[in-house]
Amino acid sequence: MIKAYNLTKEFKTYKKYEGFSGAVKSFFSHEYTTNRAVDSINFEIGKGELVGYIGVNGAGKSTTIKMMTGILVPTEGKCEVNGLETVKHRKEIAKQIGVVFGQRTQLWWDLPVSESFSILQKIYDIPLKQYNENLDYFKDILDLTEFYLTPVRNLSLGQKMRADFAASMLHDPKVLFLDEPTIGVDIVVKEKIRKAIKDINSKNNTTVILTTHDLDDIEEVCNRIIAIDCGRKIFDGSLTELKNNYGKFRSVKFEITAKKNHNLNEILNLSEDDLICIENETELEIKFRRDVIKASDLINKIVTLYDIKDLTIMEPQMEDIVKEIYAINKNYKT
Amino acid sequence: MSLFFSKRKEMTFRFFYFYSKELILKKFFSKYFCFTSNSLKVMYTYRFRIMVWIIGDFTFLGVEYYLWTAIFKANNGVLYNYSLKQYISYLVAGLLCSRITECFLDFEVAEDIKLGHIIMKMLKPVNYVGMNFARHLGLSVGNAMNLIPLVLFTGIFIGFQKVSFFVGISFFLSILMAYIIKFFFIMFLGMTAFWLTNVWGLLLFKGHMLAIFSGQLMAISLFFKIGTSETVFLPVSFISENVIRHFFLGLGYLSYCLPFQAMAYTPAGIYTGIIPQNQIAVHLILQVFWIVFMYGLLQFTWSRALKKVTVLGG
Amino acid sequence: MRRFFLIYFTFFKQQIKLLIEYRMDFMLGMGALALQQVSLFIIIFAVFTRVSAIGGYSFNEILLFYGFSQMVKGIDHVYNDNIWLVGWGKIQNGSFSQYLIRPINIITHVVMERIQFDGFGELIIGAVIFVYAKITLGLDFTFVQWLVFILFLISGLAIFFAIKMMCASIAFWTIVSGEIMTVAYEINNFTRYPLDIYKSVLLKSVLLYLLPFAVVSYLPMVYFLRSSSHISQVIGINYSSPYFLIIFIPAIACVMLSAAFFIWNMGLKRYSATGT
Repeated sequence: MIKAYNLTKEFKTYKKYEGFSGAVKSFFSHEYTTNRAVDSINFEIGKGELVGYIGVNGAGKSTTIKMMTGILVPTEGKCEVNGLETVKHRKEIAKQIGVVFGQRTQLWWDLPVSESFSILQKIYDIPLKQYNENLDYFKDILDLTEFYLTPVRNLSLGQKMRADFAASMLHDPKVLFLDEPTIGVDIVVKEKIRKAIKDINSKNNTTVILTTHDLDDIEEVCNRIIAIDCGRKIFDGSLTELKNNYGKFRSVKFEITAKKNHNLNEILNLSEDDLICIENETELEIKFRRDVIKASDLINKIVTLYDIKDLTIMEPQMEDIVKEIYAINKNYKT
Repeated sequence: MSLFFSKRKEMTFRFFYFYSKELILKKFFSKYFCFTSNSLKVMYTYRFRIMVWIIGDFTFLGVEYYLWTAIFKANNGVLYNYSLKQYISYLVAGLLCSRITECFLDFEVAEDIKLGHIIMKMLKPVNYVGMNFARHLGLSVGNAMNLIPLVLFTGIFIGFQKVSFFVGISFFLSILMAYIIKFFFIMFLGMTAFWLTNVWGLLLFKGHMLAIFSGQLMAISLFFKIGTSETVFLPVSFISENVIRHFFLGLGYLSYCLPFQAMAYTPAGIYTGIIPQNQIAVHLILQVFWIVFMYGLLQFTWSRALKKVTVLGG
Repeated sequence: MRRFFLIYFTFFKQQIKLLIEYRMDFMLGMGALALQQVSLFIIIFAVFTRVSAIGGYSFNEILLFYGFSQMVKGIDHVYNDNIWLVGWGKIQNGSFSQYLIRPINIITHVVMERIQFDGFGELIIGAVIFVYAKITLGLDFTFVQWLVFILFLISGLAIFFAIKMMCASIAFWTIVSGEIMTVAYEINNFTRYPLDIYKSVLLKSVLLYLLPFAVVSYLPMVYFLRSSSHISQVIGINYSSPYFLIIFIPAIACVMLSAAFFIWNMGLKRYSATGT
């Protein structure tokens, strides 16, 4: 469905100098540095796949999405959607894809949701029967009815996101691009959107590509993960593969009354690779591999050794996983 | 709307920014004046806009210059007892005065109200109108910079005429009062957003009212001249001479019933002698009246607005 | 084509609804533009109580120029207002990307999205003044002359369109170009009055070739009012054929439009290369 060959995007940044004389200098200078936002990425996504596209901020996620949707032209390489090269076939591709940018809306600010939808029906030339069916369907699963007649400017963030999501799906696109669709919305709305994505996928076999910072999104929705960092692909595989290989470290933080300096590695009989422990007057932080020792066992043990006031278990963050993937890849290469 | 500029443009104007910062920002620093310097900074993020005003001004002057030249030429170089040169210098001086008194805060105040920022500003321990006046002063200092081309133009092509001490003092007083009247009026307009929400249409309307009733398009004294002297031609055959005279006389009186003439063209008229010396006092008294009136109106509106905010929650 | 009208009509319906929602603002906006027309009319009227002609043109002739120029400006204002937003922030805030993921032509989409009813104030008053001047001058158009008139009107609209589009395109490089658009647009104020009163050759050339607002309203009207020899003297082109302007005006329009589309497409290319 989607193919990326050697996809590369470079941006030029002009050099800036400081101060007044610097301002004059940079006015006349043409020096610039090129930075590769996306660096020779290859992948192929089949029909009906649910792909999570992950990476830290500035890793090149949005740039890739923009190239796949035909908004940006790649510097090198090319990208095909349904056999058509993007940008060259902008209009044909536009009919086959739906795009949601979580940061901005594609609806008309002043118009009620209903009116925006009816304009989109004309723009995408959606047959009326199909349009009405889809409308009923989305009203149902996304609860649009309560704010269907409200102008977009008066909607809350969550409502806007749901309306936007429905808007991008009205024309039954074959591919759905979602750029941070759950950013800034509450957990209930997140659930609704995730459910809708899964529903659409099973109903129409729609290919979905989704970027997010929320690991739950990935876990609940995606069956395949592509991770990038500094514009390079660093992981491509199924969710289970990711889970088995990375993100094994958990950490627990205890609030303690006094420093005791127990050697936990010795007590638990674990090497420094499996358990790391940092202790100060009031806090004890332990990082451990969850496949070597269970959190409950660890906590039980610590309780016997220390006087504990409070404890927190920290789930791994996306950034940590990506860093981990990146660190491992780097070691692998060298 | 905060404007983002490409690097090139930014650098070109960096020069002005540099100087405005060094010269002005650090000199005044008090509770109010920090708003002044802040607004100066904002001004220079809008630096490209300044160029638009300048070119806009010169376009306006260009049209007016050629138009009135053609008009005076068609009438043997005099229109009533004004010469072309006197009239053109009136137009230029008027433009200068209206640029000095220029105030764009109406839109900002309206946005404050529309977006609800006004509540945040009320929380600060400063008077809202006072704060805006400080900002207005700052913006005016920035404004003065784009007056430079216009002043140079006047100096080179028209020349500043020497005036008597009496006229000079009157002019100075008059422009000071015009500055205050304009500010009060603009504040009042911005505050109508409490009741109107969208003020774009109103502000546009104000702009054109200002154009005709302030004497920008045509000196108000000309309305009276047409109203009191015998018309020579009837441009439209079915409108009689009497109707024309009464119409323009009415227009002239109407201009004096509205505050617009007190905002820019009174000082210009005093300076260029379009307003004769024996009428200067009357015009100054009228301006004093408008200050008092506008101040009252503003206070009234503001107290009503406060009530609206505290009772209805904005 | 049918789809185009369908979409346009849908937008039109929505705009009407908005109009009702913001009726106060609309009334004041339209009233303001109408007031501007009236005030400029009053000035011309006032002047003509003293003089019989300006630059060799009578009151009604001046009105003819004025009315026609406001008519063209009004029509343009009504249908082609959304492009201002391209210069004033659509590229800056990134909402321009939305056009690129829609299955219709970008410029068509931009134009269709908004109808500015405020412009009707200009249009109606312009038309009234034009019709009045035309009747009092005793200008009777034959069928062919009407065709020529319509050709001129369309050419004028094309020139307005081209100038706005060109200036808006600059935003593809500079992110915001609203100021440049405003400056270019303001220049049209020169063509409220006949070109004869402007003695500067430079100014005339700008109005004829660079920002050809004089081609929008002055040339079409002077074509019906004055002889070829008079016109050729004013615009500084030596010609004798009476058909010259019928070719010249649409030709300028075509050149401007082609240039505008060229710059627009170049800008689009740059936009999709940098994505700013």
